[in-house]
Amino acid sequence: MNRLFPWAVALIAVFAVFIDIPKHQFSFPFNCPGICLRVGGFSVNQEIKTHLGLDLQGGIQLVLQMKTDEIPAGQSVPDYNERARRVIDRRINGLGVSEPVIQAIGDDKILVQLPGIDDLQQANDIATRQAKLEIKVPDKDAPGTFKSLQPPLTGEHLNPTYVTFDSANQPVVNFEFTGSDADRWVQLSKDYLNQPVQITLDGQQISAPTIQVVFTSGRGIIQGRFTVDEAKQLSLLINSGALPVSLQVIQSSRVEPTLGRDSVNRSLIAGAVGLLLVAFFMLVYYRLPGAIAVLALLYYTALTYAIFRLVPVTLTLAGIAGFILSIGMAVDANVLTFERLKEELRSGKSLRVAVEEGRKRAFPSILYSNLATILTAAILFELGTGTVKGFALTLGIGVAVSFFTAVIVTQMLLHGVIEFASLRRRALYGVEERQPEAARDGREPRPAPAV
Amino acid sequence: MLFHVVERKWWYFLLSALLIVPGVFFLAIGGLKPGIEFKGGSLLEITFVTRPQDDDLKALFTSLGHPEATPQGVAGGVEVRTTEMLPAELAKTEQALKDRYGADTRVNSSVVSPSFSVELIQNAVKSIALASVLIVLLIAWAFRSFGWSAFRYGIAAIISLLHDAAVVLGIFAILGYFLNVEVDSLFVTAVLTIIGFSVHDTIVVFDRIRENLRLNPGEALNPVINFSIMQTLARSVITSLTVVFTLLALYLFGGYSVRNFALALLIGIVSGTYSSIFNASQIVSLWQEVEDRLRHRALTPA
Repeated sequence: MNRLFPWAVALIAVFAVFIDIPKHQFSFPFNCPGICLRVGGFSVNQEIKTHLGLDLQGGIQLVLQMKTDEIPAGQSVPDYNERARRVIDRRINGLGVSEPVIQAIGDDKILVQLPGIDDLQQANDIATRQAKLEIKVPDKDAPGTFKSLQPPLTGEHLNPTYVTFDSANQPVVNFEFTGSDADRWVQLSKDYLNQPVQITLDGQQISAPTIQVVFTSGRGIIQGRFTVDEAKQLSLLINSGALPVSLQVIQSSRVEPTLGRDSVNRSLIAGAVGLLLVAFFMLVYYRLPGAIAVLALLYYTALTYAIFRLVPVTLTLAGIAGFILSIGMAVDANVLTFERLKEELRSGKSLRVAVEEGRKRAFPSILYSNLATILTAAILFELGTGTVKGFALTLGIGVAVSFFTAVIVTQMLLHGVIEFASLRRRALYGVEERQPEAARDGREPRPAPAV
Repeated sequence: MLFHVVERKWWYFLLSALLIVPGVFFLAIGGLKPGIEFKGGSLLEITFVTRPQDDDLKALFTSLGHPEATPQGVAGGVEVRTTEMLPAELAKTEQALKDRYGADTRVNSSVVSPSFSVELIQNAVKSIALASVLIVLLIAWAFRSFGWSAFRYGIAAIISLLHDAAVVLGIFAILGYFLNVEVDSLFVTAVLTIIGFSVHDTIVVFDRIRENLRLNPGEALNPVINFSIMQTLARSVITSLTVVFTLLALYLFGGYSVRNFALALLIGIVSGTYSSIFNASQIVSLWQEVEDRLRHRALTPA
């Protein structure tokens, strides 16, 4: 093996442990929450933390379906999807949710995740209220009703709205038309002086004030007996713009933060117990190589977790299950190697030759079997949604890392250990002291001859 | 230590059949219960400070316009299934639950529209089909040095993979029929993982057969297979044991929502280990025997 390998492996271990340690506890060498580098014009400023999925930290998830039949023929659906996502993004930013997720699923669906948000009704409003503001005027043909202007006067060209309080200390939303819409607003006040006009949101009346003076600018207010929160939300919705197309909730889920925390604790216990059981078993069954496998397993756990924090991989319940499962699988490559090692030793080879032969012989099995699992994980990741994706990602990363630890780290440790004379006793490897070849059943073919 | 696992193959096939046939029966009579993800609807997981009577809960849901609600006690709370609820309705329901059973009542909710569930089913079917095809190709490639007979190894691996999937599906059909255990996308994930695992195990055995065939040219197939299985037996059992350990930990401590997932994987891993030791190579052996017999018949004059 290359002489640089041990150093590289050790360096990766130190780096992984450094990434794994929660940053708030120490700030060496940089006083920043992660990796901060500045070399000339190039700077990296990546925060390192464990990202927990909605099911673990609580929050709301919605899958929205666009009503594609509203999209004019010839217009691209993904384009509308992107516009809708931009509007939702602006709305959510106005709420101050940390780390929201707004993603397209296919062409006509949108995934919205709002960590820490508890109010399903509010989440629903944010994601599906079209927020089309329109001013309607009295319909002369049908008294008592209102009609749209031609073309409709909508909230498309507005300065940012804001909330103030009127003389009765009621919250009101202030708006101001810009450009030609401001002129139309002034003209409207002349045409319909002393008549009511209707302010509607998504076709529903919010208020119908009577125009008492001719306006001099594009300004106006919306009064609607709101609470302060309602006024703020209305203002936010108008400012973020209207959704280009109606959206419908086709999947929703909501997890209470306390229940999420409970799941995290349970998963941690499950992971620790699983790891301990495997470690105990390996030590008892394989002795010295078992100890090496346990070291490799710890290395594997530290490195995988570091990758989760670096990428970052959002950990969900299913994702943690995938990770715990991959601990079991990470052992397999070690088992394959050790079983081969035992066989080679039994066939009378020296320890050094047996270690090298064991590695060579076990490699194809390890490679192909890992490939099969990675293949499955890739398909699950590609075709799955939500939960399944999380599982596939952690399983895939886990198997890839376990391949690395089994092929490089375990081998390196084995080669290192056999340098010590005191650790070269065959009993330490679970094999009897040198003995002639075991008597075999007559029908049994001869095993691989010594190379 | 040497067992004659190849000669007694019919016994092992019989044992597999005994496991699979009842499962297939319950599958056929619709034992496998789709969860809300696959049929649409709402699932509310409610955690109470003091758990009320199911009747009381049912009355509350009926008064909210959901007489179809089915409360079911589970570890740590109650699951209630209803038809699809829109977010506004759900928010109202949660408020009603808190009003009635105290503000500390915790509700996790999950709603899937039936239109979306169709797509989820399609995705599940698509991924299983795609995984199977790619795995056949992988096996064919891994065993390309066998020439055309690589395919019989590939097909044997597929049969044992189907065996494991059938065992898991069958047991869950039985669980669904008697205990109303539902399957969701996590279950599909478990089945796919089992498929990956099963192939993983089978490849290790086949790889050994290949190596021993290469080292013992001219040797009959059956003894080589038997010997190869014996050589990999320790590895197969130990690896499964370690995976079973981690899954047991997940099943016992991982919380309710991953329990069925862990159970499906447990069943699948055990079945996968069984089929890789007692079924996969035996199919290859059987294939060879049938081929030999046919050839023999062709050579012997009638």
